[in-house]
Amino acid sequence: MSTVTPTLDNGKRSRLTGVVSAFKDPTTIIAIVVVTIPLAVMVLYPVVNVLVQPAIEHWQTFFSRTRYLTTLRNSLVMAALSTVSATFVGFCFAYALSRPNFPGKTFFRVTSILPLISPPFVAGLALILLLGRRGIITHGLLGVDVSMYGWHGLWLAQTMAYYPIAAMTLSGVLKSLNPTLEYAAQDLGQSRWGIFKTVVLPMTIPGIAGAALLVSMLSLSDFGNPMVIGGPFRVMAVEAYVQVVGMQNLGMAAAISVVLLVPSLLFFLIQRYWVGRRQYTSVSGKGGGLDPIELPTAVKWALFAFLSFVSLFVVAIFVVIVWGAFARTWGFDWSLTLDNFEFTFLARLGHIWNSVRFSLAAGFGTAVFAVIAAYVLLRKRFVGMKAFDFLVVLPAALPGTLVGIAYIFAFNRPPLVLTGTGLIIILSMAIRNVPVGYRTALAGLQQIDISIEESAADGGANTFQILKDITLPLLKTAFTVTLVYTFVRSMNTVSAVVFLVAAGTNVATTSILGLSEHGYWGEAAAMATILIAITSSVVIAFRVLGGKRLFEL
Amino acid sequence: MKRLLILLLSGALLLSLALAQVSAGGAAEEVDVEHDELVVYSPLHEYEISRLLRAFERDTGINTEFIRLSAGELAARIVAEKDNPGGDVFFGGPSETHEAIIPEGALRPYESPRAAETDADYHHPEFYWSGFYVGPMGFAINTARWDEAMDGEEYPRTWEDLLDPRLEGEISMASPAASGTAYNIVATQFFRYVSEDEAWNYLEQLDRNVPFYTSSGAAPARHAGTGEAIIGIAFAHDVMKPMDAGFPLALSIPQESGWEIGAVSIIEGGPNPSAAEVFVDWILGPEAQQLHTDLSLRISTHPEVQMPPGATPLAELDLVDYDYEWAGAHRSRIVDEWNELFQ
Repeated sequence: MSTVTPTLDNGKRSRLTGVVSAFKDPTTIIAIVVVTIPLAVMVLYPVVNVLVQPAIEHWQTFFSRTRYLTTLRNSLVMAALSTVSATFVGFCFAYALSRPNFPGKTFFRVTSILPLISPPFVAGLALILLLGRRGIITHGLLGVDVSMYGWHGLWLAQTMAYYPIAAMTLSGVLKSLNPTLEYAAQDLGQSRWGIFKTVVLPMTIPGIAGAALLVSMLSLSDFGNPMVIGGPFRVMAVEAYVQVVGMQNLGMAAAISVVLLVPSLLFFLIQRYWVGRRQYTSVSGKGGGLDPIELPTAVKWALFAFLSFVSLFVVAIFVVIVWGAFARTWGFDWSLTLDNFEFTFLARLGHIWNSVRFSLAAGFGTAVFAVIAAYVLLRKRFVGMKAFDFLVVLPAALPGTLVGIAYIFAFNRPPLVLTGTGLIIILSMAIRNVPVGYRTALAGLQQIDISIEESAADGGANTFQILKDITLPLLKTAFTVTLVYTFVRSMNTVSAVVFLVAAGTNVATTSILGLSEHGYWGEAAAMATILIAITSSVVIAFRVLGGKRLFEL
Repeated sequence: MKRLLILLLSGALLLSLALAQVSAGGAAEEVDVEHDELVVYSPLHEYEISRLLRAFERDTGINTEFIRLSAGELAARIVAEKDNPGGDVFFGGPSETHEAIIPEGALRPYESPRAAETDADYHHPEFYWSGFYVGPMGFAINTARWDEAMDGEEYPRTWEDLLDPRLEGEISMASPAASGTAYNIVATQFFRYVSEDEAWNYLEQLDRNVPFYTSSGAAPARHAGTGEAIIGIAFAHDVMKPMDAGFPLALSIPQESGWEIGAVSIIEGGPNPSAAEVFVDWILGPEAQQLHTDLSLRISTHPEVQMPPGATPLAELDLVDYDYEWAGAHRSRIVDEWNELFQ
């Protein structure tokens, strides 16, 4: 049996059991402390360290120069464009893969997450090689002379980079929609479009909003894509970087970063107060044995064509990277050689090993942390819930450069000296992925009706038992997805890490950055290929060990 | 309840053990009484750093680790780490970047016994930094696209050649706000012309041919290499690397070219101060400089070093009279004005 419970605003939701247990049960208090203290130390403390950097003159400069205001407008416009497109593509993937009769699912499952494992800068080089003024597709195939540098190239790059995040967040939601609702709507005479409009879409709204929020924050703080492909289209995250690196003007960089936080905050509030009210839960436990309703033929093939187009493009980028690793000269001489791998094997195996162990540690840490945080927020009621929620999502809004610099400032002097350790790198990796893990876990949890837990509580179970026997099994997907997602992202992260690596804790991506900056693209592609191989092996290993599909798409 | 507490406690214990492991791994490398280790911060190419440091280890028995980032990233990092520096030497990159962090108290002056072997122009008057190479500015020309667009004309040899209307949208250059290379290009114009107005006038004309300014100083050579632009303006050694790799590029060093002094400096309070001095002495010596020049094709400041084939000796180049003091002192004003005009 299943129930549909349109619930009210979070605060007004009936959660008597929750209130009682929050005070009787020390687990809740421990959980809140376990989540809040690390966030306060690893997010608030360094951020406050940076916030005090700008002087009045920096603010005056920012608001009196059209240059900065244009940059702000660019960032906002790009965030809006990328959010719409990436969420749309992600939804198409998640929706198509949740239907029983969609062809080529195995292939699309892979391409729905493939862009996540694209190493920094090399993917940008591959994109230019395919679509640039002398691009294989644009110039070679179509014979046109177009430049990818600019807002359009950046939009494309961000859409490709962020649709997997939307797909991941949405897949959990779509998967756990109970198919009986769709059949009920069908029995009541709804057309298939009607079912989509009145059942699927409304029930997915919180998921869509969560996905869109994440994408918009990532787009706002994105540094790698605009750096490589933004061209004349200047955005705030790059501007902050330029201030630090070009002018050594940390005050101005901090001012820019603070301004960047404002739209993130705004999106967050919109998501929280506007969409947050339209939440629905649908499942008492997992859905029954029924498959969701099949796609109509026309829709099926339209989706198939669209997703094939996206997927082939993604595959092309990876083919270029891997081929580039074995080619004599990137983009010019495609004859095969192993020379490009020599450097990595001679001198960089230690960096690769560091990448792997730091990323695994970050993955486990983030997964545990995100699931606890999501559980606490949705199931317990306590003072400062909104602040808590904001604190957990806040890291998504921080540009990587800022995180890197802030960490050096905060953790290079007592009371907490962490610079030079592997721990600071693990923490920087973990913290930046907590929001995605948390959102994924929330999306999963929102679909599990609280009444199951309440009845367990009525039966005498304490929070821990409820968590262990009911909630955690239902959150397994969110946990694994977060673990693997964080691992993959951390293997490929660069913007914060460049400031934190030390002798002995250097990672592979900083080497790739150095190689590609100086035109050693073959070597960069070779190292990227090794990273891709390791990352995909780990993903596959998790899938095999887990005994089930890793990404429930 | 008990079970939970035990679980939580053991979890916490396990975590702290794991963390202690990780932190110990990092911390062990900072403690160094014997100074038989050295941490190098360098913006040079990965290849060159690895090979130079291997030679240094062989010669001195000092183990090295290095971090490669762009010069600007390293400068920001050295300043931010000031309370607890992680690096010993800042190895390579334009002297201006080294100069910029002296007021922050981030560098320690060191007069190497080797310093006397090179011209006094190539080190800081108080030895905050010492130069070990000189690099001229050059044009990276995509040969295929140049021949196509310019009917096989000769490659450009002056700054004025860049103003040709047929090159509209075809010149790649970095933004002086982001890149030391680009600031060098801009400042060079102020040394070529008598009045500032003329220099601004030149930059304005050049701007018509530059579709946009990159944030990375190395990107223009990349753009020319892949045919995104016909000409990229970059330091000669940054052009010669992709040429060597097989990209269809030609290098032209213009008359009245700008140039940089590549510097090495010691980071104040670094973990291995005496090893840092050994390193500076080593790199200023003729053998190490010969190796560096052979690897990088940059022009050594040491008079005994042989030029590699293809590289032009310093004396034969027509260099502009680049005044580093003036360039440093007027940097923020010029970059501000440049931003107002072209961004």
